[in-house]
Amino acid sequence: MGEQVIIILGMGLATYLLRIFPFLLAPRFHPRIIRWFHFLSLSIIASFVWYGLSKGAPPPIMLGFRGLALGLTALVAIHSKSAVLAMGAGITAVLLLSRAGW
Amino acid sequence: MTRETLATFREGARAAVPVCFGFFGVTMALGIAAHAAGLSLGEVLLMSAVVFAAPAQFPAIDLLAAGGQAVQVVLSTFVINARFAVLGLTLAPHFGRIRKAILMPAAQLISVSTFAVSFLRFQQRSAQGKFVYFLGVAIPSYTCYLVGTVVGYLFGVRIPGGFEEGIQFVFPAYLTALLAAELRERQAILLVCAAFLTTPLVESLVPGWGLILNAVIVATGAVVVEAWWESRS
Repeated sequence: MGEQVIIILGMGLATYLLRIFPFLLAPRFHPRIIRWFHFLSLSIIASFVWYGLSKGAPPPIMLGFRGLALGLTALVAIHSKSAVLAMGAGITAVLLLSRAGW
Repeated sequence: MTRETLATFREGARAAVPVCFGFFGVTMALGIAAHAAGLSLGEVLLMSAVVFAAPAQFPAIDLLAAGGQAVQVVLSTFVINARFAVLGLTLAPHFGRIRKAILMPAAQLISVSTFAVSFLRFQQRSAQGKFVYFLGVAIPSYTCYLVGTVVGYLFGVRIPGGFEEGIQFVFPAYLTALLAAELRERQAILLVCAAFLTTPLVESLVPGWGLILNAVIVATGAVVVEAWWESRS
C-alpha cells in the first residue's frame, strides 16, 4: 500500500471519528443543552452562508451583486416556500448581475 | 420496507436534488485538482469516499502534491472537519432510538449539506422517520459526490467562462433558501441574522476558527438571553 493511500485512510479515520463519537456517547441532554445545539447548528449554517458568499470575493463585490442575489434568494424562498425555486432565482440573478458588471 | 418508509426516503431524495447539483460541481473541481496534483483516480476516489468533505480535501490535495507530512495532512483534516462533531451532537438526540449498528455506517454520510437539509426538515417526524429522511437525503448526495469526483478527474471538465460566479453561489444560495423557507420561529430567525452578520468580525479576529467560534458565541448568547427572558416572564 502506497504512502499516499495510508495518509488518505488516516484522513478518513480522523473524519469518521469526529462523525461517530456523538452517537457513541448516546447523549441524554438537558432540554437547555438540546436547545443550545439547535441554535448552534443554525448559527453554523448561517456562518457557512457568509463563508460561501465571501469566498474568493473582496468585500465590495460581496456586498454588491452577491448580496443582492442572496436577498432575492431569501425573498423568493419566503414567498414560494420552495428552496429549489429560490436557489434557481438567486443563481440566475448572480449570473445576470455579474455579467452586467455590478 | 413499508410504504411509509419508502415515501419518506423518496421525500428526502427529492430534497437532495439541489445538494447533488452542488456536490457535482464541487467534486468535479476536486477531480480536476487531484488530476493536476498527480494523484491517481483510485486515490482521489478513495479520499472522496472516506473523507466526504471537500473543504478538507482541497487543502489535503495541495499538501500531498507538495510532499506534505502525513501528520500535517491528517491533523489539518481533523481540524477542518471538527464541525462534524458539532453536527453529530445536534443529530444524535434526533436518532435516539436507532440502533448503533445502523447508525455507525450512516454517520459517514454526515456533511454540512446533508445535515442542513435534513435538520431543517426534521420537524414533526418520528426518530425512525427522521433517520430514513436523512438517508434519503444523504445516499443520493454521497453518490453524486463520488460520481462528480470521477467525472472531474477523467474528463477534466472545464466550467465555461462566465459561469464560475453561478457555481460559487450554489452553496450559499441553497443554505439561504433552506433557512428562509423553513424557519418560522422568531428567535431562530434573529439568531441566524446575528450569526451571519457577526461571522466576518470574528473570522477577522480569529482567522480559520471564526466560523465555529462565532457560532458557539452566538448560540450561547441566544440560550442565555432566552433563559433570562423566560425567567422574567
